[in-house]
Amino acid sequence: MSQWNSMDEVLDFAIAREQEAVDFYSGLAAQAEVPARQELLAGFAEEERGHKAKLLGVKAGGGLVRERKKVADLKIADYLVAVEPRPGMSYPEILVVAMKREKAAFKLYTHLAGIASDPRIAALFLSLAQEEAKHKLRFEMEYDDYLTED
Amino acid sequence: MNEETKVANIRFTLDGQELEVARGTTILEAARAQGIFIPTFCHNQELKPFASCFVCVVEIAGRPNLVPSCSTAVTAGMAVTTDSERIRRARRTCVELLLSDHEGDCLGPCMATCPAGIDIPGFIKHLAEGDDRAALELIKVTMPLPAILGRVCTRPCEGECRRQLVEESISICHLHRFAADQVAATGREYIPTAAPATGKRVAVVGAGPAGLSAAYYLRLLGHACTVFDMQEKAGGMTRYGIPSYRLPRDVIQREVDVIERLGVEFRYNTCLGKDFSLDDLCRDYDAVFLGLGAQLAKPMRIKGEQSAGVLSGIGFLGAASRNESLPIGRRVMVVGGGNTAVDAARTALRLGAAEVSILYRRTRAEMPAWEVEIHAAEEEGVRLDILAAPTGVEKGPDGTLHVTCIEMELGEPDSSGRRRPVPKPGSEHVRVVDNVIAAIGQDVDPGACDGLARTKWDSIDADPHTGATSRAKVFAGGDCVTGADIAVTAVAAGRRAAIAIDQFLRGEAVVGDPKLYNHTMGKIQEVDPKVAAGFERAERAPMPELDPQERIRGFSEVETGFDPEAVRAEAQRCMECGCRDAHECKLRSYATAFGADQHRFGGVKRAFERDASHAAVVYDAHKCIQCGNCVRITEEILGTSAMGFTGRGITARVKPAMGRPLGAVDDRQIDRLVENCPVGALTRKDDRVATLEPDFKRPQFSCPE
Repeated sequence: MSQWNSMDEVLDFAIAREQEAVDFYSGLAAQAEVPARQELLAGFAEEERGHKAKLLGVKAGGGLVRERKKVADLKIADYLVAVEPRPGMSYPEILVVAMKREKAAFKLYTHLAGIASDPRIAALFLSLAQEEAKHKLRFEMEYDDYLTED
Repeated sequence: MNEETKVANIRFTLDGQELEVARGTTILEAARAQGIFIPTFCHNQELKPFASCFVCVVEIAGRPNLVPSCSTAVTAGMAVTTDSERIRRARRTCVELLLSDHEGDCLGPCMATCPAGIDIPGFIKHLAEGDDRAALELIKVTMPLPAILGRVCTRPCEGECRRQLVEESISICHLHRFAADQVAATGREYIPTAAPATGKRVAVVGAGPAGLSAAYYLRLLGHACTVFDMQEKAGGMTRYGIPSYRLPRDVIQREVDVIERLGVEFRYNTCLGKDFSLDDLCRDYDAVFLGLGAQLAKPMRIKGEQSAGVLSGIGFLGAASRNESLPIGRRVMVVGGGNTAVDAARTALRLGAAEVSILYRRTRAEMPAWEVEIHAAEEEGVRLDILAAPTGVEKGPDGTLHVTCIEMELGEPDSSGRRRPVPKPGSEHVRVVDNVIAAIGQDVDPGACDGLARTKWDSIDADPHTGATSRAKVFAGGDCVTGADIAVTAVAAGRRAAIAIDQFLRGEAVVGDPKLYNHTMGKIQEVDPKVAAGFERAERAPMPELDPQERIRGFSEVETGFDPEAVRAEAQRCMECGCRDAHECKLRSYATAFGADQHRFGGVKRAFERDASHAAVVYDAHKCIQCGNCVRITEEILGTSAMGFTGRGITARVKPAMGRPLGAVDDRQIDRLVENCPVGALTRKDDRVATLEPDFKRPQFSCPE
């Protein structure tokens, strides 16, 4: 997977990953017992669909601009024990699953950027990594708020 | 023509009804004669129509504009409508325009801030006068646990106390603790009289603050009430989550006993979901209230959390409360920054730990624990390690716990401007302790509320005002709805639900406690410091406490309570904020009826301006709505010019005439002026600020004339 021949190939790979995420959250939503969490997970799936749409836009000619500002990393995903996805997860467990997925995606894209020989492809991977870092931050902030309660 | 013919009646239509009235009758007079309500401020039947407030507007068929009913005479064939959506909108706008230039508080800010709505100025006044029983009775109108809450409430009321504009807030909480303790010490507890039995039965699940409160008020309303609790005694988190050095167990029992003596039945060691189901309760009772609390300790979700020696804060405090044997070692690390963490740390010290630290991932200023308690913990020797967090625990070969910790620093402000903690690179280190107590909060146990709609957090999805859940005849309140919160919020929820359940049982619309309009000068930092003018400094009474070294030798109550002299002096510091006219004020009544918003119209408000120069009456010019009643009474009836208008347009003000103080107004005239002021601008000094009615329902504000 170290050689990528075109930008489109990279984008197709990323789009497929976003679709996987859509399917993952949709599947969990379908299995969730509490309607409020069904909605929540369906909302996550919708967000991933949005990410996919953004990438399709890039493939169709739009740009993916990497912001200069570094995305904050609260590192909450680093030290929480992983949760095995299952029906009936609590909201904090869902957040752990989500932040760990985003972290894995961030690491993957960062790795691929590091081994890409074409600088344009490397830059694209870095942009994708930054997007995933933003998604992870969103879940970490939510978890951080959960911890603020006491 | 004879005289009778000259004043011949004319026919017209009022709200679709054909009527005949004497020529010259105004629409307002005709409507009132029919018992039709039209609000007014400036109208006074002894005076000529003034038509300045426009709140009395009505519609006349064929006329494009609304007209003031107080000054419009009925004409033949006229078709008048006194109530419509358009009219209500116009009246609401009139009220909101008046509110936009009205400065004052309907209720004392303490009372308005207290989640339970305790009549704080009222009970403090009783204490200042030495009547402890009257104080207790008034407190219990909205809050049945004053001895308990007097010790553990985090006192949101004191944060808004206007006395802070002089020096420090009134010691409100300690005062209601005193009232409760003092009455108990007489041996004649206050047991209110319950309403006649309704024949309805209500099951209350949970004997914590929410459940006790619901049971108390349901019983007062005449309903038979049974409280189920999984523990062996009542009190919930106040008993099993708060150590006895803060809240002695006999104090809890005393207030529970009062509820039992009212006729509430308690069944202990019975657990919803195990010993009985919600279906059982719905079958056997007419209504159910769930006050289940938030009983599950939040996990840290770090490696090694399951190691022996790692305890949960709430589990540790519960075990300590039951006097269970606790294997506490010499070095204890408590994780968390809330009151449970601080309570766990102080309890660990009392159980023999020599080194106790609290690890908190944010700054000290962000610790949710009460500052008083943090300070007390430090006095007793607890060490605070702020901006630090555990990331893993390992059991050492010698049985000690090796806790990997990281130091945190505040990151860049996020989009909301908040700086969140982020780990400091390279700060990882290991600390060796005997116990870790994780006290990072509690979650609601989802298993306990099966079958009910839940939020994403697993709390019960209930109406915040009535406690109604997704299941008919099941209501809920307290932590199981809000998530872990302060006790007074749960007590308030229990009372609100009791009112709603009472409505449900009586077959009425379930609307909960009627919410009255409350005008406010704003938060303490927004209030004009002139409010405090004339109050001399008098320092807040310090709460006597045991010496720190003595405290940690056992579980004796740390705060030993005020003596009566301190209470009288403290109570006399109260500035008696709130309006003396809040229950009579037409502006408040109409604002409630029309759902008015104080902030709909912005702009500069009149400044706080008080004239207390009269021996019996105060003139709060900042509350005046320029209805002109006082000015016209002096001119048209009394034949004097005691009060007059100054300035023009929006700068017009009503003041004692000729620049004199109110004290110059004749005593024989002043009563007439006070009686006819529709708001609280002219009030008698010896009237009390707004107090609650003795039957626990608040007065109903509709639109009575």
